[in-house]
Amino acid sequence: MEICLPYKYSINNDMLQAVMPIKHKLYRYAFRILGNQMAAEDVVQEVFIKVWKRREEVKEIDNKEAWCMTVTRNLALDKLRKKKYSYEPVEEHYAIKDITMDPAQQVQSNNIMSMIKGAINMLPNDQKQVVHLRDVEGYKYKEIAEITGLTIEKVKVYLHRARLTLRKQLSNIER
Amino acid sequence: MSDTNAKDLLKKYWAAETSLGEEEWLKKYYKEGLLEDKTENLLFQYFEQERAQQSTRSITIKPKSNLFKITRRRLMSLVAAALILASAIFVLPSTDNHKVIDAPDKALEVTMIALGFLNGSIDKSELAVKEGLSQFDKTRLFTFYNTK
Repeated sequence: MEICLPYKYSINNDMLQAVMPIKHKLYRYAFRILGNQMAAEDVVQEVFIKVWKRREEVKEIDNKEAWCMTVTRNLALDKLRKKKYSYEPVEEHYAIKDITMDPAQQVQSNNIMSMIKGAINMLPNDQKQVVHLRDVEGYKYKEIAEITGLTIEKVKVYLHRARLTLRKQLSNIER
Repeated sequence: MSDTNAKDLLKKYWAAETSLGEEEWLKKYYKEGLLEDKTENLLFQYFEQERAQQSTRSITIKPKSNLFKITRRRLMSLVAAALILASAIFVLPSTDNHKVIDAPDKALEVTMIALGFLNGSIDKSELAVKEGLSQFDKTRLFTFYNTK
């Protein structure tokens, strides 16, 4: 991980260093919303610029991670509305590389994996985000509510609906 | 924990009733291949692979340059400069619109017309001067009789 700052500021970048460990989380969240690597990277960059510009204000925020995730969400959704990029599926990320499997099994597993990915991508945006924040990033309901601006009840409802849909889709795959 | 417990926990998972701890345990249990349910296993693998994704770009923060930031004062300066430039281009050449006439006859004709205008102006001026002088004489006579 690397931050390039203008020379005169490079000494006093504690704030950015504090936020730096969540860089990949921010990227994954932006990628989940946008489905485009470059656009997601741009969003992360914008988040860090925002943190830098508002560093005095951010210092006072208790849950900096949740704040950054919210900023990421807002910027990504904004980009999604403007649609200044193209959707770019990144299949290679999901390839199963299990040496215990024979090639036929690997192909079958990869197909299922693609179907799982497709099923998750088909979810409504709010449900997709909740699934990502819970199952991938492991956030608590309260934190998810804080990040997404939803109520805790709504987060639970969305997660429930999303998992019901996923279960249905998975049972179709099994058949 | 047995497979039965894991299956019960999976039911809870699908109903979104599990705690974070239970979900972590379940994912680990499937990862270790202790249950045969292949699709659930792959679902949890998918989540794990998602979590492994990383951003590759380094962060560069450069404060935006104020060079192109248009302030009110700068805008006024720009408008003033544009006006001066526009007047230099469009107004000044119009004061220098003398035409050169090559044909001698035409030149003579134009000169005569110009002199005619000048003559008319001189006549008018002369008349005005005469009127002024007569007024002056009247005033002088008036003051002469009144002071006597």
